[in-house]
Amino acid sequence: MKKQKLTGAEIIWECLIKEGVDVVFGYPGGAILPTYDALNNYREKIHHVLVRHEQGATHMADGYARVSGNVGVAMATSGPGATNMITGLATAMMDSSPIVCITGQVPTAVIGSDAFQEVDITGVAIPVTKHCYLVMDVEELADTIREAFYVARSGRPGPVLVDIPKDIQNAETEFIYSEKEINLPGYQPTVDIQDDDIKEFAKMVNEAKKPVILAGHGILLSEASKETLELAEKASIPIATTLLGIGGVPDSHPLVLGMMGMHGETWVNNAIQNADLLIACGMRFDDRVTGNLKTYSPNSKKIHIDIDPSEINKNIKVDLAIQGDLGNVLRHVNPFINSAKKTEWFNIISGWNKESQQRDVLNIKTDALLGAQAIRKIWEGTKGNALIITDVGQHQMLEAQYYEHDDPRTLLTSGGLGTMGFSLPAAIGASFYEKDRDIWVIVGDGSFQMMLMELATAVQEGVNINIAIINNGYLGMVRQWQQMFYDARYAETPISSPDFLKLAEAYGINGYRVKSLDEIIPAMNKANKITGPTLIEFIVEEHDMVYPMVPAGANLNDMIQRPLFNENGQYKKKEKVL
Amino acid sequence: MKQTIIVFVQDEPGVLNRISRHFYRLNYNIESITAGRSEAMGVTRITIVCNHSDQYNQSLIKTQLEELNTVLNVQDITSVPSIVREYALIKVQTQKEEKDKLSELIKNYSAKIIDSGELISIIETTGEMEEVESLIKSIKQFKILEIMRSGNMAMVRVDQDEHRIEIEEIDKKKGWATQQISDALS
Ligand SMILES: Cc1cc2nc3c(=O)[nH]c(=O)nc-3n(C[C@H](O)[C@H](O)[C@H](O)COP(=O)(O)OP(=O)(O)OC[C@H]3O[C@@H](n4cnc5c(N)ncnc54)[C@H](O)[C@@H]3O)c2cc1C
Ligand SMILES: Cc1ncc(C[n+]2csc(CCOP(=O)(O)OP(=O)(O)O)c2C)c(N)n1
Ligand SMILES: [Mg+2]
Repeated sequence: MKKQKLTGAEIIWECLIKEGVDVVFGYPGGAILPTYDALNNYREKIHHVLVRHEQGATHMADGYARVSGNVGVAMATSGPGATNMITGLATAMMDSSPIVCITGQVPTAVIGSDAFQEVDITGVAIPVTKHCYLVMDVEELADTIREAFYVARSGRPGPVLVDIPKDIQNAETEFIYSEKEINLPGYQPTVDIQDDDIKEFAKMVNEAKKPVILAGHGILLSEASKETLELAEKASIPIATTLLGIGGVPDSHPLVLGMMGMHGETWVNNAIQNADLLIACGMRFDDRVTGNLKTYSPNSKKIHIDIDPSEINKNIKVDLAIQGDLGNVLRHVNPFINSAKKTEWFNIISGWNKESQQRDVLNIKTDALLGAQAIRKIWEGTKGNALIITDVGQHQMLEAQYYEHDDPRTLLTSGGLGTMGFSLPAAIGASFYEKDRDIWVIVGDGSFQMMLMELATAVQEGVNINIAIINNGYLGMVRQWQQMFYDARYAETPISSPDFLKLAEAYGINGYRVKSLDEIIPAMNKANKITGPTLIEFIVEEHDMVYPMVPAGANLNDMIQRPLFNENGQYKKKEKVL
Repeated sequence: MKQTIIVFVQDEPGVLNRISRHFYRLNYNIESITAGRSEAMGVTRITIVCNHSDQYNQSLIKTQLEELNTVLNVQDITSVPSIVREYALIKVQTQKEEKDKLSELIKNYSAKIIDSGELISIIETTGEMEEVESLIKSIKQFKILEIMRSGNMAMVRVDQDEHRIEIEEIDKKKGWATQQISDALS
């Protein structure tokens, strides 16, 4: 029997369906027209979300991927459509998020001739993708898309771009979706674990007196929460998380110390600096995590478990490196770990912890609303159970400090690239997967304005998200650096905003404004009753800072602390911080 | 430091682009790069000699290249005893009466004149980089018109067989240039 032929465009949708895709975020244009035309035949199986900017499409795919662990898909036309995706690809690349971007390209016959809307997008995208393909033959289309999904999700996940010329979308061929196991000669995502390494690992853990587990994003990607906790509980090891590791282990667990690094808490960074063993689990020693490399945890032995060999010994030289999937490695090692109590070590850490409490923002009394207090209230109001998507800046760090996450994949944030504008589209994307939790976007006034056009997408799709704009009238994080390191010369950091309530009205959604602590929960309750997007603007103290802070390149234990305050909740010294 | 690396890649368009950017990113200077088909169908073998400050550990470039899907294998032979050779063509202009002197001079090297006109000759040579340098130095007394050097090619020595890398042939469809070459030859 002769098989029916399909066009390249139809093959694209067939492949997506085979890969289990049910939602695609995209924007049409000339070079992708055949594919959009074919979409009409696939509407029951695939929902297409019309975005307002292709960058938004990539963040939506990214948000979908981060919350689900599945590959997110974005689609755009050639030229400007494709170049608009670059920031989203780079964001996904830095944070190991599996997305596949499909772009239209000018017809093969005119590639290289500066044809209308032609950009060599695979050339542009090489540095910001895990891999990218230009399909020059319709016979290779199905295999290429299949390979793209495989590469995106396997090993260390990442973004993949598939560029498909218009004539390839129109060309016809038989559609065969191979079921064979994919075997790429230059790509081996899995590795075997060596027994010797496991023994050595266990020995180092069993001998340690002051160990710390550094829990990274790899815990989420490997779904190794259980194994990590088992290791920690058995040997009594405190756990510090990276920004992207938050939620990998429950923040409320007594062994979990909190976030490490530039805006990590004092006791967490002190624990790392004074440790005799660091067990790095799926984290890559980013410079925001280590501070000065030369003085980083000087007296500790270091074990690094990472699936990506190029991360090992890149920034920090380690004593034992194990390449592999974190969960798998820990399942091997846990049986060899002896039970132990480390009372002395915990006493030292809780001493640092006590000292810090005297500086905790939540104990300060002020008339103004502080960003940290606002976020703590959101935590209360959502019972710590929401899916939170943050943007980039002070509000992002405050969320990391004051919103406790007990479940994996409940915080989505752009860590490695720090892409302002990420939160709203990422939340829209995530909402297509997450149906059980309330979804809250926590976004700065600056960041919101960077992608606010996606509000229209949210409204059109009727997605259930609540947007909390933390409005401090500044590009706060940059202003903080100017205040600390540039003698408070504020160059271009004050930023004006539209009237957000009127903006909400213009988009046809409900908006609320809160200026004090006790207005927050009532506003949240109102917002929660509404289906579809809502917006709450939090007017917060303008000049507040995020503490503690390790200045870029400083030693991890040289933190700038929040100034002490007295029993009335007032700062002891008149500081310029408030 | 100076590092010599052998990279086995799938023979397909754009592969050099994917590789070279990693050297650029780490601020490594590529001193020479030589590529050609290998014993395995569809696989190109590249020798790269690069220079860099010691900011990063030596294996970083290797692990980063290995990460690329189009890269099949990377071998750092900087400290593996190897045969490292360069090929060069040198176009020289002499006075008529100097021609014999030129022929005489290059006898000291593994070099020969492979093309010659009334005044101009092309010399072909192979050898270690230092030998090629030394030949060029000694010909400088004449007028050198052009130099074309291949850059280093490397192969580990016979007694270092444990360092030899066996490369499997890959899907013929994927071998781009090699396929065309062998099609043309068969
Ligand atoms: C304004 C701002 C401030 C910041 N401040 C801080 C801060 O104070 N503290 C902080 O921690 N971060 C901070 N960051 C984030 C920081 O830049 C990094 O993004 C973050 O530290 C990276 O965390 P990670 O290494 O856990 O995750 P990733 O960068 O995602 O790395 C994950 C690692 O896990 C590995 N991996 C993946 N899958 C597996 C698997 N299955 N098994 C084993 N390993 C695997 C990967 O190969 C990779 O090495 C800040 C960012 C911004 C924008
Ligand atoms: C696209 C982009 N441009 C610039 C920056 C630099 N940057 C980092 S934080 C920040 C300020 C963010 O301001 P806002 O969203 O208001 O958050 P706040 O810090 O005030 O909470 C800026 C400009 C960035 N991270 N991303
Ligand atoms: Mg702001």
